[in-house]
Formats: sequence, C-alpha cells, structure tokens
Amino acid sequence: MTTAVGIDLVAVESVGEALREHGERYLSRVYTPAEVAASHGSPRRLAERFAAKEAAIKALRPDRGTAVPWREIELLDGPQLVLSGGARELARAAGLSRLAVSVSAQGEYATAVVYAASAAGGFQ
Amino acid sequence: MNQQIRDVIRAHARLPADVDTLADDDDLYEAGMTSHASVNVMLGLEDAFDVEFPDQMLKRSVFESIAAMEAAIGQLVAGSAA
Repeated sequence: MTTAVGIDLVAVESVGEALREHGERYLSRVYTPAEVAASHGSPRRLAERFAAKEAAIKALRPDRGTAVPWREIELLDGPQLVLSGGARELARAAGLSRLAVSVSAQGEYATAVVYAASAAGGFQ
Repeated sequence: MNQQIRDVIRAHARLPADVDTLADDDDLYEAGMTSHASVNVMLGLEDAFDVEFPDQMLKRSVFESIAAMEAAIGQLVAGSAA
C-alpha cells in the first residue's frame, strides 16, 4: 500500500495580482479552459484551484529538476482531480492511482489538501 | 540582467527581506517565496526579458534562486537569438 499527502495555502490577493497584471496570459498558463470557465473570473475560486494543483504536486513529490506544468493537474467540480502528461506519469511511477482532494477558502486565503493512494491503499 | 531579475523579484515575490540582502544562490523558497508568488515572478520575468518559459522549464530548480533564473533566461535569450 502506497499513500501520499500534500497541502497548500494560497493568498487570494496573489491571484488577484496575477489577474490584474497578466490577465488571459496568466489564466492560459496555469489553468485549463474548464477551470477558467468554472471559476467565473473569481480570484477566490482560482486560488482554490491553484492550491489544489500545488497540493497534488506535493503529494506526487517530483524532484526539483522535474517539470510539472500546472495545467497537467486539473481540478473539476466534485471536487475531483484529473492528471495528464507528466503529472499522470509521476503518479503512475509512484504507484498512486487514486486521488482525493478537498478545498476551502476564507477571507484572504484558499487551501487544499490532496490524498493519494495506490489501488490497494486506504480510503473507500 | 541580475539587477533586472532582482527588480522583478522585489516587485512580485513578496519576500519578507529585501532582495538585495540575498546572495545569487540563496534559496528563494526558503527566503519566503510562495508557490503562487513564483508564478507572478515567472510572468514578470517573461515581460521583462520578452521570453516565455516552456513547459519543460516549469520546475522548482529554475525559480529557486537568482542564479538559476539568470541561467534559464540566458538560455531562452540565446535560443531566441539563434
């Protein structure tokens, strides 16, 4: 049984700054079209999604020389995480086939926690 | 280039300390740069140097120090000039 966990905290204002200064370029580099559509331009909702991406990266534990583009980790309604490209390969190599995510936001911050497990690992 | 990078970090990294007190190889994440702040730094560097970091460069090692950023930008600028 293999398990991993990751958590991240994001300042909503940091997302607001990125939206103000970089707009569509920021959105297209970090989020998938589905994530952008579901967030309705809300810095809080985008911050939740970014926190989920970073929490997933921490659970996958890439070494510092491995690239994990943010768009390869997608948070969809549910919530559920969908991995693609190198992120999916990292999970496969680590034997992690089941991911669970929870997000929250209050005031200035958004947070997310990701729990990852092998097919035989842990939660139902 | 080094000073331009420091200016971008000063503007976007939200570090507790003045960036001019940091050595080129100091770990910026240890100095307080958050994961999302690194996104803002990346976008700021792209604006400052008219480059775009490709997906294969979106890794912690590229943004962990001023020296690492300088090396990465050097590669991108050299590649675009070729």
